[in-house]
Amino acid sequence: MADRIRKPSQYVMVIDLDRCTGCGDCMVACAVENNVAVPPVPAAESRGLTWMKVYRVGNGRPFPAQRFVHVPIPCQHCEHAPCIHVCPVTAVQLDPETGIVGQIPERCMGCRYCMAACPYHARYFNWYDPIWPEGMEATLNPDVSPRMRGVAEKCNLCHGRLDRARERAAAEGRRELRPGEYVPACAEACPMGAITFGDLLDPRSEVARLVAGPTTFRLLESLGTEPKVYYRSDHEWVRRLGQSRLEPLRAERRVLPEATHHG
Amino acid sequence: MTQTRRNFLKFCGGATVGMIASPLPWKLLDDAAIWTQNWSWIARPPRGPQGWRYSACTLCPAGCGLKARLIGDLPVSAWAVPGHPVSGGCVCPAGLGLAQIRFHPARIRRAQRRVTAPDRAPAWRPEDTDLAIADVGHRLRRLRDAGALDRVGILDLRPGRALSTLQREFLARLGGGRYLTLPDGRELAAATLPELVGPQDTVPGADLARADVVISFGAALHDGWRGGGPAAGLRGDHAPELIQVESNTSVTATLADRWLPVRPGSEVVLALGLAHVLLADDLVPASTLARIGDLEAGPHPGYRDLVRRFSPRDTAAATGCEPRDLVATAHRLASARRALAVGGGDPGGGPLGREEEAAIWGLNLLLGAVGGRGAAVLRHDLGGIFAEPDAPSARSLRDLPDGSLELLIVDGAAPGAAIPADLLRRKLAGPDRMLVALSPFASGAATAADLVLPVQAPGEWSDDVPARALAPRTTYMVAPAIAAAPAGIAHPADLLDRLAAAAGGTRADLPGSRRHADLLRRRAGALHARGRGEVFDPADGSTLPVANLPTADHLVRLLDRGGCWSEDPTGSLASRPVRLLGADGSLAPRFRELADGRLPATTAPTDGFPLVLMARGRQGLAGGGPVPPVVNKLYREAHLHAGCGRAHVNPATAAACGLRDGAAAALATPRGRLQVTVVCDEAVMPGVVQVAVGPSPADLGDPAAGASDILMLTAAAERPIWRVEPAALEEVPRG
Repeated sequence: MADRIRKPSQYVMVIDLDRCTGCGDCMVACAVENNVAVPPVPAAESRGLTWMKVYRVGNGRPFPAQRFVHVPIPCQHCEHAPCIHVCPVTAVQLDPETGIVGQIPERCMGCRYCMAACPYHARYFNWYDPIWPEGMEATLNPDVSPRMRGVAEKCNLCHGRLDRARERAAAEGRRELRPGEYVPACAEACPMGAITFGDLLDPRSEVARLVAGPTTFRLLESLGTEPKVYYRSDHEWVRRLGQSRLEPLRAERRVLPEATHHG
Repeated sequence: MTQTRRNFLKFCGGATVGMIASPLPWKLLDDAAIWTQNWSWIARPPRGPQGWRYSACTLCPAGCGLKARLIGDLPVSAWAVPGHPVSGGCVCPAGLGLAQIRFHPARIRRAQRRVTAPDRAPAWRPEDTDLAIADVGHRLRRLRDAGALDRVGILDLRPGRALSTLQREFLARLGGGRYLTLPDGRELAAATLPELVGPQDTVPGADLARADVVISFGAALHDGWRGGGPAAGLRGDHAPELIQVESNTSVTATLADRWLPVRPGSEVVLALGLAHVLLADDLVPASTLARIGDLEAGPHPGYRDLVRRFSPRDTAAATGCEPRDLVATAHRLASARRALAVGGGDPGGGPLGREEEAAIWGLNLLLGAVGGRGAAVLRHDLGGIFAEPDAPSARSLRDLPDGSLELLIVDGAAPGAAIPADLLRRKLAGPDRMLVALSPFASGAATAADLVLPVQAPGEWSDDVPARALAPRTTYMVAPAIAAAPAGIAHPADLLDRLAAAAGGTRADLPGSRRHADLLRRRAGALHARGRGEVFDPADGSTLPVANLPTADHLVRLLDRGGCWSEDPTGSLASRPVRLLGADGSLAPRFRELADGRLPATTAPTDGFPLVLMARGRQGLAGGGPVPPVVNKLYREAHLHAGCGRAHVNPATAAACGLRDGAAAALATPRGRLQVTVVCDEAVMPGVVQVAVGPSPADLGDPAAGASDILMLTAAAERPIWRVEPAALEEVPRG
């Protein structure tokens, strides 16, 4: 019986902000993999749908001391996810076997409580019918169903890829996945190698090493949501930004020289 | 129990409350949610067996390795090939959308004739393609009968391909005409080195991954969009130390280990200032100095005398860079085992000038970085191996006098860098002048055309991809088609055949697409006969020496499967003498002018134009080529690309001009005016207006929408350097 049960995993993502160039490869790979629709008429800014969004943020200092960083923000897959607690139809679930917070669009009734509850603005509402330019439906990923309008959507760490990897493993008579066998599209596509993905419960994994690093942090840790998306940066101002605390930095501006050396 | 009206109402109320508390309404709601998500008009993904096809991206000259995921015969997505010799496992957002690009809304399936004036936004009228070809053929025949075939040109936007050979062959069958190219910043940079070291049988390459320290003079190493190649050399834990010399805080500047902000257009002064410190502080080995033929004064002024005028103090005055930073940078470069200086310009801001590239190569030569163990490698070019006898020689479109053409045919390959539409049009003159584009999309250079003839899209035909300029290795790939072309859309070589036939040219024995395929095989045969290099097999990541392949067919098959032939750089300058002022000393007067403060790009604010306009673009996007719709959507929603309609200025500059963030303003230069939206951005140097070359985010899906308008405010159509232009900003009423 015991060997029937798959060993639990804790999939986490570590994003190195000092490597991210903001090229948007992660967003595009995500959209292509997950059949995010491309309506021919541009959506209003507040009604866009992007499972992973890259934000450009700066340190707020004047030229030439200003710096900026690109922050890719997918769903943070919180261990204590506010969106799970507020969903009235149980359309959001935490998979204890993987740590992935999954969205079940067929259950979603579109109340958008989850969007209001998410402190990371990582959930999007499907305002429009899923429409692609003529002929492009032929390029949809068969592993992922398009979602109808009126439901909330978000990153599910490319669950379709996890299913495929498990099928391959099962076909080879394996129950456990090998390291690197399951990687979300964004991590595969990042040209700078800024996104590392793996199982935190595997002590030999790269993510375990990175998560233990002194420059690794999570967004808004004080909320206690325990996200499974980690970020790292050697820059103090970036780490403070992750906690939404820039005030000390503004005070520093009065005394710090306008350095152009990074670090 | 007595049935009363009161009891009946109590029963109804209780039943209602009970039903609400039961799962029934919620189950109905849940079911309704499920039903309403499965309407028949919701797209159904394709079903079928899964497979992979290996190829290369042909959306720009970088040629990144790709693997397309197929469901049945349909490509549904494209991904990078790990360990690929060209792209190192990288691919840009456009490459990720290659499988979708053939469904771009700007795709044309019939000929399109322009119905608006050249200086207005293009609008098109569909036309029967056969009639359009007959029209072009008639014009070609008339010019040939008049003995004026020198007024016919074909502009190859990506020279060196097999199709380039067929374009020359097309001219030969016509009986004449000009074969034209438009070298970008990288090609011009590569062409500058032979001026300093004499003619070579090799071409230079920049091996970033091999360097310990890289100093970049405004090169968009991390800002590039298409072409993961540069980024591939700069990623990972063993990435070289990067020093960026640039006016504004680009992504490259912000990710660099050190950023030296300099005044717009003064990068070349900094390069010569570094050369001054290297020589003054005896940081150049004596053996290197001994090879420099014009170090000391002879018939011409010596290099040492000229750079003496670029002392740290003088350089600081010209560039705004602190003298101590300059000295520290020079010492860091000298102490590195492998230092490398790179230029190449910006895809939207244009190339660097000849003297600028010469100053940067001079720095590399002083650092001993060129050839041998250096990071500026010398590699063999395939041009000599693939050369076709009797082909007309290439000429730069810029070198052609204005008005010297009557019919210009522009190839449909998407260029990496910006192409000023005005440059194309000013070469045409005559009552029947016509600009014809062979393009799958009404985008890029095609937006300047009078007539667009449809051809197959990238990924629908097997193009070949030679190594681009400054690539660190010599490579050659065939990018096999990953999808079938729509019925009735011609292969580019077949369309050339039809044009030649319509013009009454000599007929070929085989169809163009067959000759193209034969040419690809001949090229593989030439590589095999050479017996050098190795082939990368993307299916398993293995590499096989060419010498181990028994026949040329083996190489053909590997290339047809998306393989990549490559050869390590082998060239060396050895003890070859170099002349840092050019073989004829022609750079000396230019360096002297630089010392006098006359920079190649106009930087001095002039009356009425107190600011400077700096155009900037992303590789690929700056050329106005097609952008996959999904990229268009995501870039717009994430604000990742500003577009040509937005003028980025420092908040201090905006305040000085009386402007606020989001204000509508007129951006004026001595060449014209354009309405823009002001964006306050601390990343921009005070006094600078930075505008992106390329379509605005809302129009990425509609490449016809003013992608290169901003270039009309610059000198792009008149001279090869246009990155700095005097400008003014003033508020105007929105509308």
